[in-house]
Amino acid sequence: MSLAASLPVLVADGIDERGLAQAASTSPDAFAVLYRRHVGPIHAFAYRRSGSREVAEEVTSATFERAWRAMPSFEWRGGGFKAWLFAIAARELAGWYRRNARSGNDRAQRALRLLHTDVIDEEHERVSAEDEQALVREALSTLPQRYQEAISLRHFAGLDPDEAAAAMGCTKAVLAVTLHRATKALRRAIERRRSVDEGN
Amino acid sequence: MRGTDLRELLARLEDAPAPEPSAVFVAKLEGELRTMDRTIEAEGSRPRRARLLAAAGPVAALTAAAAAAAATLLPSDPHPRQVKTADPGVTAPAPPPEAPSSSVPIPTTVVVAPPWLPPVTAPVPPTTAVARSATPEPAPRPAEHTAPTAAPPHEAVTTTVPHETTTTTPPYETLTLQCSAGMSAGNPTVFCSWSQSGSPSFKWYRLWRESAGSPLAIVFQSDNRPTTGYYDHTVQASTNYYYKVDITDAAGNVIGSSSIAPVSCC
Repeated sequence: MSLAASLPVLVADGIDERGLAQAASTSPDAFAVLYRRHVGPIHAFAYRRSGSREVAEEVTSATFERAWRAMPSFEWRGGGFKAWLFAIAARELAGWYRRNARSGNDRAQRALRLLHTDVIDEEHERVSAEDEQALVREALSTLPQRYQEAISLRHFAGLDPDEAAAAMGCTKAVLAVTLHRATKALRRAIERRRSVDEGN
Repeated sequence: MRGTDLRELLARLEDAPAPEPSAVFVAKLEGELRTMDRTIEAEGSRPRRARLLAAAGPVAALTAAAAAAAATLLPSDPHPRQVKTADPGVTAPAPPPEAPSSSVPIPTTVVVAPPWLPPVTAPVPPTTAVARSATPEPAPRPAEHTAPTAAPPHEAVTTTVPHETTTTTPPYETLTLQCSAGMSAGNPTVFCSWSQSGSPSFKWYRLWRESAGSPLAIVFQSDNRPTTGYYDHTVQASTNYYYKVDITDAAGNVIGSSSIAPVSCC
């Protein structure tokens, strides 16, 4: 029995997320439990969005650092801590692409060429899933940040519509409209890149 | 996009396997987070000066008080006033120049342990605060009040610490805690209730639990003062539990606690 003594703060993992999030505003150990719960999903989210383990680790680090610093101002809302954390990660990802804007990597360029309508079918078959994904990722990075976040949270983070809407700070209906517009913008971005490539 | 629908691409991305983060990365990041100072960016709504002072800690607070005293004595100082803190790279700016020196508000800066250090749940030493406030502080208990050191009368005194600068100690509040075990919907449950805090510095209730083989843990936390009870549904039958509730201020200082309430479940 050591309660009367000066004690290490160890927080059991069985506590509900809301209690943990409240405790994490003052307890690094509570935040550590949240961190261990979510570091895998956040890393997977960043990896699916970027296709790079290095970027995933960089974004994951930045996400949890920002979350740790912002915990005192965290307020439990719809979607809870998970949606809040993914929203931070989505912003970090958009920020990463903004800081590292470039014309395109080789894989994306190759996929772009092979997706042209005049490419013969045999070549088209060579477009691997990775090539396609690289193309989508690159085109996605050219969209406005809110569109990037909507598509990322809905398609790469594994959030259900309620959670994604909560992370976006909007209703499901608004999220649906935003997603619709974002998807159209993404399609246009891909077509625009194709036009530029044809011009070259 | 011939042959490939965008939605299919997005769906494939959604289902694409993602590698687990390496154990080294996870452990390293957790270690970095535990040692990270978040006070500078923690409260964006607070004035920048207050945040810097809070981050700089006691030296900055004391130095700021001294700077305020100097500003009072030397109102015509032509040089920009800056307070250098002991923390490398952190500089607390001087009060806004438009504010009269006689009424420069110095935010109450509580000198606390860094937030990444575990809070102490045992009765803590009195929290030292350096404050200068327009409203008088409640009279502290004499036993815990540290009187400012006064210069002997025969010594020549060239500077004067403003009388508002004082050291106060918030009273340590004792709460009562009662816990009882029972069954709720067929599940073992412990209900704990405690007395409501009357401390003006109250920010959080924290209910702690410990049992044999299970480490001490916070099972409930609330910043709602009227919340004085909690049903703990995470208990197991045939287990002895020990509960304790404490209260903290906004800075995380423990400002009150209860005695330990043992309960045998269920």
